[in-house]
Amino acid sequence: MQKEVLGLKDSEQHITLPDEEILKAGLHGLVDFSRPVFYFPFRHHSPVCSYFLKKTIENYKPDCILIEGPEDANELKEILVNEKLVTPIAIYYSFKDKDGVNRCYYPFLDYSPELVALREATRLGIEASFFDLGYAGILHATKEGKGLRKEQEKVNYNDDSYLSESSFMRGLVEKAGLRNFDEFWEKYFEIECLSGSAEDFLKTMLLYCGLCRAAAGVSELADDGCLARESHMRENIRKASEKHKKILVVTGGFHTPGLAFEDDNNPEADGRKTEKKPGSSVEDKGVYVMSYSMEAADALNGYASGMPYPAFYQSIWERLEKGENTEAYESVVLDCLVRVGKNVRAKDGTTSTADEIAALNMAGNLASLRGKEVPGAYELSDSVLSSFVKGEMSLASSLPITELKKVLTGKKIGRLPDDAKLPPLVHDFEEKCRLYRLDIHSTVKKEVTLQIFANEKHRRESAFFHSMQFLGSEFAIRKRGPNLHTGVDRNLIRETWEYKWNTALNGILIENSVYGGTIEEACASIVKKKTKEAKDSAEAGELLLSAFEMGLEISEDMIKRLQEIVQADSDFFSLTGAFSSVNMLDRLSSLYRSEISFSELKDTLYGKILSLLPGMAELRDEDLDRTLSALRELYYEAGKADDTGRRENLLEVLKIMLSDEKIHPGLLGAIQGILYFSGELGGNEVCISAKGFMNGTSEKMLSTASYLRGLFYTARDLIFSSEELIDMMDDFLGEVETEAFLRLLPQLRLAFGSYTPRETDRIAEKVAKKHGVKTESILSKNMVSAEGFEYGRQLDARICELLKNRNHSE
Amino acid sequence: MSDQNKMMRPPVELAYAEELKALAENDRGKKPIGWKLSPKAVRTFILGSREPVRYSGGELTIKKKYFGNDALIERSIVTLAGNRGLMLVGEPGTAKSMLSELLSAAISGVSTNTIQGTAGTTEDMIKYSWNYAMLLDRGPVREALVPSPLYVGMEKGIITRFEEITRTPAQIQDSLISVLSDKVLNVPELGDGGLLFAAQGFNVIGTANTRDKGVNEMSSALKRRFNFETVNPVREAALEKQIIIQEVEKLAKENSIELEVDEKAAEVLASTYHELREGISSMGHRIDKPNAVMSTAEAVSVYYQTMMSAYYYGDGSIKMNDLVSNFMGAVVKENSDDLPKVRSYFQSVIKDKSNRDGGIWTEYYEARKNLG
Repeated sequence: MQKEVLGLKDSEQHITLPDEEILKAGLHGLVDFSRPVFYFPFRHHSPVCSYFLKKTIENYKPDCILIEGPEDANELKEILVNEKLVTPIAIYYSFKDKDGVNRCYYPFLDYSPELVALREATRLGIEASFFDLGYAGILHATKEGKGLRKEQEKVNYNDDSYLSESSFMRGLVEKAGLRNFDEFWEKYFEIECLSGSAEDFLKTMLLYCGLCRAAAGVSELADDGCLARESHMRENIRKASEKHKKILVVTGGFHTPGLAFEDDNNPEADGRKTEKKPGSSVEDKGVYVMSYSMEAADALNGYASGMPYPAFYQSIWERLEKGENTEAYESVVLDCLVRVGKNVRAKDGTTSTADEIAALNMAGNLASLRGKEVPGAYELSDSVLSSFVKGEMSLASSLPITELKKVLTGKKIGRLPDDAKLPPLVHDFEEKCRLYRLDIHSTVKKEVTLQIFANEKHRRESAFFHSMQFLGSEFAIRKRGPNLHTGVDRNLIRETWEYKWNTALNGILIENSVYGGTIEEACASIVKKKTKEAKDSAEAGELLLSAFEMGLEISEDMIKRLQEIVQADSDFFSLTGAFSSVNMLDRLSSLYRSEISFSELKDTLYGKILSLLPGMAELRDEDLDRTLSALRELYYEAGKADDTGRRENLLEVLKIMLSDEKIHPGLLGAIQGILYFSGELGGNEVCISAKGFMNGTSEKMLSTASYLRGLFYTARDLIFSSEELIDMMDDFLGEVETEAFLRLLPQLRLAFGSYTPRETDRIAEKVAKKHGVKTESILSKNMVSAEGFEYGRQLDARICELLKNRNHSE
Repeated sequence: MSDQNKMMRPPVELAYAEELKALAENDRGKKPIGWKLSPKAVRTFILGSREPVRYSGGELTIKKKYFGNDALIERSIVTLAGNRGLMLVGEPGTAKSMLSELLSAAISGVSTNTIQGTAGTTEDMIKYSWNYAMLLDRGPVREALVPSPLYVGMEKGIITRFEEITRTPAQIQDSLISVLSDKVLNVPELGDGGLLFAAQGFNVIGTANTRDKGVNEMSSALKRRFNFETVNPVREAALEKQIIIQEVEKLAKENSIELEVDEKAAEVLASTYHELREGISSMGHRIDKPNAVMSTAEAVSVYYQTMMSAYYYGDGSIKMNDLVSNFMGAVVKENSDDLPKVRSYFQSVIKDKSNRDGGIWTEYYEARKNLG
């Protein structure tokens, strides 16, 4: 290991490495169990570090352990060491300052050195505490956009990018011929150090941390608050050394050289100290333990919280705890192979024991080819890929890989002891209810009416109700109001909600607390996750709408992701679904005062739908409705932006479709309607076409109603402007046989469904006039008297009752 | 060397004879029985060495011969040392055959022990056939038997390469099953002595083209006897450029064309192939992907053709007009629907690049008239 690191030339790293011997002498001097202060360097979530931490505690026998972590969390120590606590869990910090609420997570797994240190201290009765700056203090010392002030979904306190992402590390990984830093770490630390002594591990680790430290820029350290934190930690070490004789300092390895060698009296250190701590009252800050999930703890899911494959290393840790050493890797690799094999077999039955044997051989031999003592997670992945995947690697054959990922990540969700404080999400819920003056202390239904457009607070309250609905709770139900998903009641400007507290509510909130500390955060994480998993663009579009309703910020990322899904989607209905969602958002964004641009997304959708439209000509009857509404939406959109040539494109495609002989009559009607409406087709031509259906041979004649339905759907006023059409229909209905009429009737009813009652009356008047009948006599005929209606209703109820009784008695 | 010069394309073991010699002399790793090199040395042969290697012939640095996925090479080597065959699958032109040659040259010292799979491949070609004159004269004796590459592989303990295995009818492919699982080939005609047991070091490297998928799908019994490796096209445009240059240089040397490779032209070609394959340009345009194979190997051949016409008929410099017409020939040979896609690619992406960067991109854009 050391040879590898130091064999690396300066020029390959673009940094100046310190003299090897000086560095070694200084750092290795730290490995001395007689020192009053012993520094233990670790990497977050590393089993090997935890393994040697336990050994170090055993050898050094400290009377005080100081652990890296914001000191605000000291009050939670008891929960953290509670035997009923099941990892993964996270400490959740929140702090309100002038710019809003800041939050960060500090996840723990069984093999996190911090948690191991706490648990060991409790077991041995040693005093232990977190000794880093409080969360507010760190924020205060951090520049905008750096460290814990980074703009991202979840900010982790234990981010160890300094140990893994320097150019120095990249050079090292490349030279070692490995894929990435995590593989490097596994090879040289997790596996190689495991069989050596604690002293050897510490020396290697310190040298590595010293080199990483040397590779980092001082200004960078100052910007993200690192120097201020270290200064505070040194101060705490000094204070502790007044009381204690043997202090074990357990911190991320990157800080160790800083803590051990830098000096606050050093002139360089000017400005590093936090001048004055910001006054923070209890209301401004929150510190909670919350349950976390393996999935969220997996560094590969983008939270940069340490090592990947938590379930894999959890199994390693469990075996190390039982006294195993490097053989732990061999047995865990075998276990995983067998589990993946079993899961694959259960799903598609292809993986055999022979494959498992081949894979195990592969893992072992790859390890020796790569100079690793035992196979690790990377050999495991390679062996599954090579021996389990049959045929070309594709979506169809990648089942073993997906299963492997599940096995490596794990599904475990942490659990807190019963007496732990409730998770922040519950607090946030209660806070919001207080803010909106919602009564959650009784289980009586309450109703609120919200002026969602006029009142900003009401708008937020509505977003809150929507969020609660989205989280799957039955807390709030919307009774009335505009429904963006279906487009129903869009004209309403008020929303009426009914809400009621129920017992399941806390459970749902606790369950969702892994997604975030506030309702918004949790919903945003879930939307993001679901969008990532969305099968088609309609689903992703719906999610976007939901996010909008919940008042979440619709990020560029979400729109980009939808773009991707749309690109890959070739289902007409899914695309039109997404199109109407996006249109709805676009129309509403000004109304709801939001400033997002959907134009590019709309262009893509429009283009794709248009290219698929001709293929829809021969649709099935049951798809007619959806297609008609999609067509109307397209036309509406095309008409809005005529400068982009959208309208021409649409009309062109529609004209092409007209020449399709097998086109569905309903669609034909709708297209003719649009073309008539846009002046491309004369009323006369439409009438000729309609006549063609009415005078057609039997099957064609029967599709007249369907044709009219399409026609009236897109060109409602044709019937009022063209006397000829009414005449024609009148003649047609007069001549048609009763049997055929009955078959036509359902579609005819749907056809006239496009008109309002007033309009149907007008049509009826026209027809009546034609037959010389007085309008009053036909229009009043259908009136049912109140008594008559009541009689019918009672009769209906009575019959229902009789039938029911008869069923029971038999 | 003089022999090599007469060959159009010397096999890998001759082309890299010095490298193999250097590696063998320095090889201190454990070799699987029947292997010429240790797995580590095989890896170095394919992925190259960082430092020069000293050997009896002087000093040389092992060249990197395969670009892309290092872990794939490692898995392939380990597979070949085990009891399963190696099946390389992927799009055409992803260097599957080259990889199979490199592996067999490094492991067995021979890359020419090859069965070429075609629709007309018969079981005789896979197992053995007879020299009928001798058969009639002397009866079924070993001397009268004409061994197939598979037979030779088993007898000598070397790798047998089976190219384009899925071009071969399924029942013929299946004759491999018993050989791969029992490592024995029965020649009933030879009587008791007719059992050929595979010598240590024998294995099979198959290659299959995903474009042929479904033509002769491999049986699952046969699939089980192979470890599959999917060879993907190169994902980085810069790497693709490097491959084009290296491959073209090699071709030029083999055919004594004394021309330097024009890096700029190679870059233009690499990015064109890359963008059309990925469906997105470096400037973010969304591109309709042509149906034709847009492989790096195709790009190499387009470049090489252009280079040849420059050498023999031109003034030795690469002309964009030639490049574009060769490119079009390569794309449109399969599917004439691709032509509009390529045209609109030039109209949008290349036009924008020409406006942005000028120079060779403008020349390239202006050469679009050759698209026909």
